[in-house]
Amino acid sequence: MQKLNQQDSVVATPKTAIQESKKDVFKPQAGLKDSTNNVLGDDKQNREGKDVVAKIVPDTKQTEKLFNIKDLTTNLTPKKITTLVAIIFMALLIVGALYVKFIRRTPIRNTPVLINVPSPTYSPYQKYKPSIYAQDSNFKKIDEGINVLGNEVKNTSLEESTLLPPSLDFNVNLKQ
Amino acid sequence: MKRLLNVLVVFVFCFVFSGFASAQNVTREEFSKVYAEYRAKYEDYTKAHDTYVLSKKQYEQYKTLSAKENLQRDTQNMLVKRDEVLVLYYKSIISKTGDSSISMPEDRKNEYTAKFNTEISWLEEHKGLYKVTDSPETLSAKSEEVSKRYVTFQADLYKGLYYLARGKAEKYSERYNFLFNDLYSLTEKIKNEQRDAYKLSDAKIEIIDRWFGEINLKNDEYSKLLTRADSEILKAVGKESKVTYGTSIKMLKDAMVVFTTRLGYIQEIIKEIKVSESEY
Repeated sequence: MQKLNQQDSVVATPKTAIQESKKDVFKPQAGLKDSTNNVLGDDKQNREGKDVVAKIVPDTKQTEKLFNIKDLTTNLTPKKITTLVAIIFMALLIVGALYVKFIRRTPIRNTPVLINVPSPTYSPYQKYKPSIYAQDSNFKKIDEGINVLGNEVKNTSLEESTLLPPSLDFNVNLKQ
Repeated sequence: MKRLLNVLVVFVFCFVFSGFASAQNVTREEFSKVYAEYRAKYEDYTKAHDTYVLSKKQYEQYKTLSAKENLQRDTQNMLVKRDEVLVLYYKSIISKTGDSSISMPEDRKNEYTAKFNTEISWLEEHKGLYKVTDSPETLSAKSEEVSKRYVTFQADLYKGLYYLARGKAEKYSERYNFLFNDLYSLTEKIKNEQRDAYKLSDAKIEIIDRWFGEINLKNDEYSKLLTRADSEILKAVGKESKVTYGTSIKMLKDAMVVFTTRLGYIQEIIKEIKVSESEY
């Protein structure tokens, strides 16, 4: 009962009333639970509690719009300009990200790219029958020897380039 | 007793051939060692030369006694290192002549080894003549002695380098001749074959003979190019030796192109013999 009387006295200042009502009405306090659930069965108490809530609701400032776009564009202050720029920037950023993600395609190059595709050389299939010497070890040995020698000649430099004369300074002309 | 004799023969055989193989490795190892020393010495010389250049500039700018002292010290150090580089460079060339991939006639090898050794001895002796106490002029004069000697030796130096390349070509020729002779004797055997299964037709023998003729033509071309290159290097004199060497090496390379063509021809002959005359 004492608690409810306190709420009555708060009604005069709406802001404090809202705060107080938030504390008392929305928080799961024992007293409120009792009044809403009607567990205690005390009618007078409940009625008084409801009256308190009814008095808080018709606060006129709460029904106004919290944000109006016109407010942002009229009476420009540095703070408003900053906010406006930030909003535009964020919007552009989001639009840009969406564009990159869903719409943009890889640009087509105008310059033609030349790709050197190896041109296939025509080699007609020549069917031949191996002679009796095809598997001869002597010929195989010579063939292998020629291959090894050919590879060595191709891959080894004839000149000993590491043994070319070193670069030395022979021009030592010192005067007193 | 017989078994003991066999074991002894195998042992002697292994001993002789293992010695031969290790001798080849020793030559290569020796070259690698000398060459590494030469490169390291060259690095030392480069550093010493940088210091000498700096000292020279300082002396030319300030002409102080301390600058002169520094110049004498750094010049002497650089000149000693320069001579040492040359010594190790010549030693590397001598070592390379013993490489198994190079075939050089013994008399030529001895001739050039002696020439390089003479230079080495002279340089070894000469490097001891540089003194820190020598005036800059004296050091210049001593350096000039080496310079003149080096220019005079250019012809033999480049000839030596040419004969290394020529030795490689000669080694390739030896291997080629061995394979060519094998093929030729095999082909001769086939030509004389009387058994029907092993016999080649006259038309095919004619083709093979003609192709051998083509190889002989290439042999002549190859020999001519080698002779031209050999003659060219003999023209090497003094500072111009480098140019003569370049021309000779180019001729050797041209000869190797002919050499490769011959290898291709041999492969074609082998292929021709391997293909049966009767079709499927």
